[in-house]
Parts: sequence; C-alpha cells; structure tokens
Amino acid sequence: MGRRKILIVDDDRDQRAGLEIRLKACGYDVVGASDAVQAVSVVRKESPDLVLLDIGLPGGDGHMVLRRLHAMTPTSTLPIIVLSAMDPAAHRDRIVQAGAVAYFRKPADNTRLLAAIRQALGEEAPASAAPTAEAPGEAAVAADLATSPIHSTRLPAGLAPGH
Amino acid sequence: MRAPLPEDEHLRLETLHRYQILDTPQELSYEDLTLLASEICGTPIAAISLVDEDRQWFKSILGLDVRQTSRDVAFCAHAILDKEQPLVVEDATQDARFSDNALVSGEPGIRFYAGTPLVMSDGHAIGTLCVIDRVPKTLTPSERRALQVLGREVVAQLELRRHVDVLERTVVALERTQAELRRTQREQLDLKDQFVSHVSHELRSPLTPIYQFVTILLDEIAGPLNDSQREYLGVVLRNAHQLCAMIDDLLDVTRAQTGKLRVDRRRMRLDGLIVDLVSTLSISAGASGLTLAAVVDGPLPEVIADAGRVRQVLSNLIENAIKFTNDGGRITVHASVPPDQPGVVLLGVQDTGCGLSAEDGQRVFEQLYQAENAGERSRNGLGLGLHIAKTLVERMGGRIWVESTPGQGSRFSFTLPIFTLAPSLVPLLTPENLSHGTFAVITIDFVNQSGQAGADEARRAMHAAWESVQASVHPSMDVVLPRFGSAEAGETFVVVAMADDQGAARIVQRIEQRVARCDAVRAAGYTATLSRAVLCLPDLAPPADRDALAVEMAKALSRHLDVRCQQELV
Repeated sequence: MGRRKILIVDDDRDQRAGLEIRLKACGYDVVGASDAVQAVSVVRKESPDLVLLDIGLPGGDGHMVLRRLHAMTPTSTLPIIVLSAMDPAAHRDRIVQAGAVAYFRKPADNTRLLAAIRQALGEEAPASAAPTAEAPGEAAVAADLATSPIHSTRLPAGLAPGH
Repeated sequence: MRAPLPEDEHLRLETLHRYQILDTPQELSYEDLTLLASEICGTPIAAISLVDEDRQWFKSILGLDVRQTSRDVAFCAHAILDKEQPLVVEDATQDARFSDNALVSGEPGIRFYAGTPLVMSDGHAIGTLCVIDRVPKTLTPSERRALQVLGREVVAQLELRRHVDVLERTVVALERTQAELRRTQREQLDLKDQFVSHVSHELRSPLTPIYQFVTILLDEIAGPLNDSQREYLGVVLRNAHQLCAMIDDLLDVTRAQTGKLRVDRRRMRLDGLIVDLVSTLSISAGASGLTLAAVVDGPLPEVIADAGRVRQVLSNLIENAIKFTNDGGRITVHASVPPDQPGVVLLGVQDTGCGLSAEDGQRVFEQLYQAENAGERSRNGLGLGLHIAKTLVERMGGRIWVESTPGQGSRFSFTLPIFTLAPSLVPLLTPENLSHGTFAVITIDFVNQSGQAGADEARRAMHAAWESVQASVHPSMDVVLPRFGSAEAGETFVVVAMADDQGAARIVQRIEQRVARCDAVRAAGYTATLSRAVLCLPDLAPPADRDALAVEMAKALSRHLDVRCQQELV
C-alpha cells in the first residue's frame, strides 16, 4: 500500500499548515481545502483516504460537508474525523449521529489524534493500548502498571469481582 | 313622570360601571338577599335594581320575569335621589309621580313600592334593593329597618366582589411580572452561556496553531534543538496548556450556573483511573522536583459517578498540589472506604506544601477565590478550579473539603457514593412480584470481535443497545441495572426480572429481537450473547421488610455475577 492521503478542511491557514507539517512528518500525503464547497470538490478530485473536518466553515458548515460526503456512494464510507474549537456539549452528539468516526476539540492532542487517524485508516496501532478520542464519561485507559508509582500491595488485578 | 337626574349622575354612573356588575349572571348571594327582603316585607316581588344611564338592570329579581326595564318607568330612579332613606310609595295610583306610570296602569300593576338606595363607599347611589306589591300596603318601622339593613348587605356584597376582583387582578399581574422576571433571568443566563461558548471558541482558535507549531518544533520535525531552545519551548507549551485549561474552566462555571453542566453517572471502578492519572501527572510532578504517589486501599468497591468528571476533579486537586508544593515535596493520593462511612469511597490528595490559613480553607471552594499570600503561583489560574470541583462532586452525590496546617501542607478530600444493588431492587418487591418465589438474572454481553469500532462509534452502538434492552423490559417487574463504565471491547448489561424461568425466557427473546434490529450495534461489529439464570428469593422469616429483602437479593445477585466473572477469567 502506498502513502495514504489525508484531506484537511479548515478555513484557518495557520491551523491547516500546522496539521500538514505534522501529518507529512508522519508519512502521509496531505491535501487541503478552506471551505465547504472546495472540500467536496477536492474529495472528488483527490480521493483522500481520510478527512479531517472543521465545523465552522464558510460556504456551508462541516455538518453539511459530512452529510454530503456520506450521501454520495463513492465517499459514503470515507472516514471523517471532526476537529472543532466549538464546545463539544453542543455539537458532539449531532456529529457522532451524522457518522463521524471521532470528534476532537481543538487543539487536539497530537498523540491521540494520530492514534485515531491510524485506527480509522486500519493501520496497525502500536502494541500498547493507544488512547483514542477525548471521551469524557469513558473508563480510563488502563495504565502500564509497571511504570506507575503505586505503593499499595493490593492493587486491582484488572477484573476484580464486585463487593 | 320621569325622575330627574341626580346631581352626581355622571360620577354615579362611573361608580356603577367600576363595579362591573351590569349584565353579569345571577348569583346565589344576591338571590338570597332578594328572597329575604320579600319574605320580611311580605311582598310577592323584590329586586336588586341597578340604575344605568337609560335602563334599570336587575342583578336579582323575584316574582317578575324581566331582567331590565326602561329608566323612564323606573321607581328606583326616584329612590336613588334621596340617599339617606328608603322611598316608600303606599299606593302608586294616589301619587302624582307614578299614577300615569305604565307599570302602574298596565302590567304588573304596581301599587306598593319600597326601595332602599344602595350607597357605595364613595357616596354614590347606584341602585336600590326594593320590594313591590300589586296591592296598596304600609311598611312597619321594623320592616323598614330590615329593608335598610339588607340594602347595606347588598352594598357589602358588591364591595366584596370588587375587592376580590382587584385582588385577583393584582395576583395575575404579580404572576405575570414574576414570569417575566424568570424569563429575563433565563435569557440573561442563556446569553451569558452563548457568549462564553463563543469566546471559548474564539480563544481556542489562535491557541491551536500555537500548540501545533510549538509541538512541531519540540518534536524536532523542523530540525534539531539545543537544550535552551527545548527548555524555552517547554515553557511556551506549558502556558498554552494552562490557557486551554482556563478556557475550559470558564465554560464549566457558566454551565454550572445555567444548569447545563453534564454529569453522566454510571457504575465505575476508581482503581484504574487513579493509577492512570497518577502515572500521567508524575511527569509534571517530577519536573517540579516532587514525588507523586498513590496509596489505594484496594480493590475499591464500584462507585456511581462520571469517570470523566472524577478524573477532572482529581487532576485539578493534584495539579493544585503540584503548584503549591516546594521542590523536594511529596504528594500522595489516597483512596479507601472510611470505616465510619461505609457507603462512600474517600479520595484524598495530601501535599507537603505551604498549606492554607483557616480563612482560606473556608473560602477556597468559592468562585474566583485566590488565597492572598499564596505567592505568584496562585496567579496561574482563574480561581475557578476548586469551585468547579465542588459543583461536580456535589452533582455526583459526594462532598468535598480541605484540612490544612499552614506551613505543613493540605489535604483535600472528596467522597463518591458506592454503587449498591439493593436500592434498585426495592421498587420491584411488590406482593404480586414476590409470588413466584424466584427472580431471574439476565445478562447481555456485547463483545466486539472485529476491534474496528472507534470510540464514538462504540459509544453510539452501546447507547442504542442500552435503549433496546430498556425497551424490552416491563418497568414494574424488571429493572436494568446501571451501566458499568464502558470499554470499547464491549459492555455487559444486567437485567433483574421478577419472573420464573418461562418469564425470563420470554424477556430474553424480546431483547434478542430488539437488539437484532439495532443497526448501530451491527454496523459497529458487536455481537450479543444472552444468558439467564433463575435464583430463589431469599427465605426471610416475616416480618422482613422490603429493604431487608432487597439487601439479601442483592447479595445473591452479587454472588451469582461474581461466579460468572471468575469463570470468564479462567
């Protein structure tokens, strides 16, 4: 498999550039779009393997792009990760309902974002359990017990039975 | 002969109209007074007549089937001219004022009339209480007094009616004002919420490239760094993170005020969360020359709380401790079930820092409070963190407090309620439900073998699965136990049903059918495995109450579920 291509949709040039440098350093090809209309046309022309999508966009918001891409047969299964500075309380449910594979609040943690990208692209994640999207309300990812400074002799052996 | 108009006619009419009584339906209290007047004076006809501009209108009339007559023929129009005493006409045919009156010469053939004026509180007479007969008659002094007394009663009724009316209107106005006020307050809070939401968005936008480019430099994507460059960029990154945390606090505090702060309580274990958090924060503690360690008196029982929020509170307390503890100090995170409070898990963060004065200890949980003498370090936040922590802990049913000795350190503690099965079971224990002598435990394991589901997809699938299970049970006979903090690999739901084996089999079938129709579950690659077991109801000698029974059932249930867990582990 050759290099995977990622489309970054964001109207902020600096943010697009920052992501592009990071993703190129990780071995991805990167294309960009700065508004909703351009996003849809770049997807048609460039056939990216994944889209990083901002929500507040000129020419129709990210919700619209998401719906449009998922309504067209060739792109209906294209993985889309939403990156937005907006308050997740107001948008997360709607975005997840619309079929985005993950939602990140800007600025997104590099490690988590890259893990989510690799997962969405079906690339093998490293052996240690890689954290994915920010998920309030989710159980914490198990930490590596060997490195944690815990002094109790009776620490959870994972699935301890109930009381 | 038509009666002359009273001198105060204009004001008199204003008064009459103010009472808003004209053309209203009949009312029993006025009917009673009319009846009494006719009984006492021994006349077949009695009325409460109100003299309007061109008519007299009867609020109440006995012995005649009319509601109004022209003012031209009204005896009462004469009676209101003298406000001091009743007008008594013993024989109308002998009185020049009335001998040519149509009501005298024609129907109903009035001969006797006595009317006492209704003089209102402002001194205007608006009508009369009158008694009428078709034969001439005299009024005894006691009948005359009685008529006057009854007339005053009619006035009292009218006044009362007006007061009630005014009162009702005041109440309505008051309620409207209150509703208005509440709406304005809500609008203001909403506006504030929108504003803060917007500001937070706008502040995060420029922060994003700062974070992106600083990390690009730090990760040496743009080329190698020397030690000073790395150190200075580290300072930038740390401050960017801090700014980000402050924006979050601002949003949370606004949410707390508008009641929109989301707390999603579930069954969860704290052990893993503490381990993870302590190992994550050890890095920044180490960078400040501090030791961070956890002492967990575990395994801890399950609590019912929001894992994300517990993490937020605990990391806030640990970060505070790091901030206020000098080089070489020590921070310890404790977790245990206190012997004197068996219903909660107690979490504590102990530091060897500068400590708090008694006054600061009282006030640290207040919004925007910052200790006066805490030095420059305290200036690094908005003073919202502990206030948010308090709000969150209380929303999860716990308590938060601090104990401190200045110069020796502080210990912040909070509690979270332990999850217990019994309270969920009590509502099921009705006499009918207990008649089987058994109850069933149905477990539904959702497992994702594909390992393909992302976090959000998993959450969506498990939410849909949860709703399917909920919809399959009968709320008065079955209960779905609170969810256990989920993992992407899958979740297990437990249904307790007051049923025998056949009943349990039917519920299993219903759940299977509903889950099979659930697209989100299938699409995410989950498979469901259902199992059922029938347990005997604890054999408690009467008079065992429902609470005691629920506790025994919960024990049996825990034993059953534990056996299952252990089998899975083998």
